[in-house]
Amino acid sequence: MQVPLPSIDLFAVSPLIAMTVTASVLLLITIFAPRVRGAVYPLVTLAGLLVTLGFVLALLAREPVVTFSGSWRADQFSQYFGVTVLLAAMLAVLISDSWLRLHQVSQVEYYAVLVCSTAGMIVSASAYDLMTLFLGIELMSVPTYVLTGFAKHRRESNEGAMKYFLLGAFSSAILLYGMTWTYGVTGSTRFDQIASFAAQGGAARPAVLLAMLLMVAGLGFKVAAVPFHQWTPDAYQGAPTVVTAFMSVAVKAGAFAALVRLLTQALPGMLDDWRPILIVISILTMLIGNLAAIAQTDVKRMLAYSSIGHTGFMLVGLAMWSRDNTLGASSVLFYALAYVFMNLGAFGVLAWMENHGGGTTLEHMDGLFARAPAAGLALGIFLLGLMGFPLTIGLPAKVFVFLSAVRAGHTWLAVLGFLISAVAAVYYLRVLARLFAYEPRYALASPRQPLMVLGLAICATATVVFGLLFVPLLDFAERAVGS
Amino acid sequence: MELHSLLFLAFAAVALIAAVLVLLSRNPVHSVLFMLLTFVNVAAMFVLLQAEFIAVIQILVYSGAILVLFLFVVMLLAGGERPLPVLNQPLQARAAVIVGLVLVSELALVVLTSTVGGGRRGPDSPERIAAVGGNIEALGRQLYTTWLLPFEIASVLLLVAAVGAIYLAKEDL
Amino acid sequence: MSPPLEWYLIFSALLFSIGVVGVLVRRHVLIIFMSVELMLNACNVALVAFGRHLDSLTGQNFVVFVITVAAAEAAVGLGIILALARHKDTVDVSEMDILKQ
Repeated sequence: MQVPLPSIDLFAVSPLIAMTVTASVLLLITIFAPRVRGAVYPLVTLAGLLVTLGFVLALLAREPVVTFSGSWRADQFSQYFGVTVLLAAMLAVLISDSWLRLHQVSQVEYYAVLVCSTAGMIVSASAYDLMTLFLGIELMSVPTYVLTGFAKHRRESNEGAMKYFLLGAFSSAILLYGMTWTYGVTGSTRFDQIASFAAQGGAARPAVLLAMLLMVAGLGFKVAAVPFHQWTPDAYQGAPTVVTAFMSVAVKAGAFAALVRLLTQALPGMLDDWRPILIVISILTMLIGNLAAIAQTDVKRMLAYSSIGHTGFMLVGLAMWSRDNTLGASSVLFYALAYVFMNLGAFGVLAWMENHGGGTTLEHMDGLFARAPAAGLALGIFLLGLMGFPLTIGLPAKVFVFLSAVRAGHTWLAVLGFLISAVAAVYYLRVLARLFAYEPRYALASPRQPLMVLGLAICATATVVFGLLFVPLLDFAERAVGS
Repeated sequence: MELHSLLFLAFAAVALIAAVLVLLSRNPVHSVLFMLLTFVNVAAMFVLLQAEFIAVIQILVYSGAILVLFLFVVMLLAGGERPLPVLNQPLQARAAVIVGLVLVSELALVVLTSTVGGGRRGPDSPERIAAVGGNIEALGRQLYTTWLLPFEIASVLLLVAAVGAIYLAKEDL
Repeated sequence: MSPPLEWYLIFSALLFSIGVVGVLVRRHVLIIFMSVELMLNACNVALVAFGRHLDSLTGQNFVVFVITVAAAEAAVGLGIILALARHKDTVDVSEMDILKQ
């Protein structure tokens, strides 16, 4: 009995294969060579991620390819996000090493789960079909529930994981219901076929609207948009800081990849419906995220709320997209990559401090620059970047988002965003002041953390360097959106 | 009324009542059992829809594996017979019920006002499915050809779920 | 085709809403998770019903993956619950406020 195979382009899915192989190798090492030196695991993980990055970069040179019967689209858009999440994953491996060794947490499961989550993000960015997208979102999310609860002897880690898991599963079900209705109304799960159906409009309009609302709500949870943001502060604060560093940037990137592709490639015909919704959500998110951050006394929780605020800024960009204003989408991509360096770095410094026996409250920040100049300087750079200060990559990120609003004729939104950023600067400045001006209160022990230092140095350098050389990045993002 | 319609109404009614009882039970073991009742009725509905394979895995996987896992955990957590938390504060509970009613009415409205089903028709009419050799045959062919990639991704998901679950649940040194 | 598609969709909507209410109302983590499973089942019914109406097996294929995902989520979720219960006596989410300021 012959079953015809579909046309398969293995090279197009090579990043996914490389990551799966990496995870498998990690697990195999622990089965067959359990007494191998601890340093092997991060090195194997980094090697695997580098190979994957190699495939991603090689794919950049090719024309867009749709393969596996329309499930997978390998284009510049997917490779852009591939680069983004792989960088996040590699940096996460670098900064996690010392924490894992200090607390004697099992390395192999950590790295294997991390790699699988990153694979899920790559799937989310390359999926061209609702089924694949759903599986990608799940493959991205389920490992992060595990990672959040990785410090399983600490109550806050378990609680954070519990809350994240419950709301994550809830949002997946909502997303799925939206996909169900999309399939039911259009008769297909492929993005190109959905787009051509939606273009016809017609008597199924209430159902199509419902489907879109549900999908936006479901994905809105994942990016921490208001009113779906409730899980973020608890999950971010409860998770081990190195996990928060990875989650806050990579999951956001993966979910935004899905959201951008879904809205701009599967539902572009419904732009007039989803734009006002996104505008409202973005305003609420910017406001609530940033205002709530001001009230926080724990820097880790403050950064969690600021993370919500940044989602708001990114949503402004997405809301402003149209076929004539692709800056709307490319600004989101630019912001996602910029955010990796700044936010992962910021949480990374907090993790560095925790490894040195410090804490994450405001008092612990006092005099950090005096005590440990490099760490203080790094954190200063990251905070300035998140604030949108000139000479850091944070400034062009915000400028492009607001510029896209101006180009779409919504200058008021750009002004509002700018005002909110200015107010938000308060809580960043507060920490900066403590870093440089106050007297140190707490002593720091000093275990050596070579990989962590390397990771933070890369982040800090990138934040400043790309703050000046942002044009190539923007070009990359524009090409990605245009593909 | 036709037999199929009568059967559907019977299954639907039992499933919905059991679902509500899942929420209202004080004892989580009872909730799990009502959940089982819901699942079995949903499986029956799948049979009515001529999705026999799905009906079987609904029983085997959903009821037989997932619910059993739930039951294990419920039993492990059962720490004595003290009264278990039931509802949120009454105000929140009433708000949630209102949300639920609004949701249902909106969804029903959508169903009744849209002309659903004008979408792209597929080639898998019952005749063609029977020609290929039945539901399982036809489904299997599609799963391994058209949906090959999601299938492989699902396997990675299961792997990482297993690794993660074991890590979290195991007692260690 | 009998019963008509709309009946299945209304049933799916009712089941989905019951699930949503369950997530919002109950405090016991396992019941909340079970409510999410109700929501997923509602989606499955709608998917299969749509599929039959459209003469397409895509709906059923999707359901296979949804059940797979549900199994994976259940494994991880229950692992988290076990890890949590090992350190606490309660599974009441409103008592899990160690993280709130």
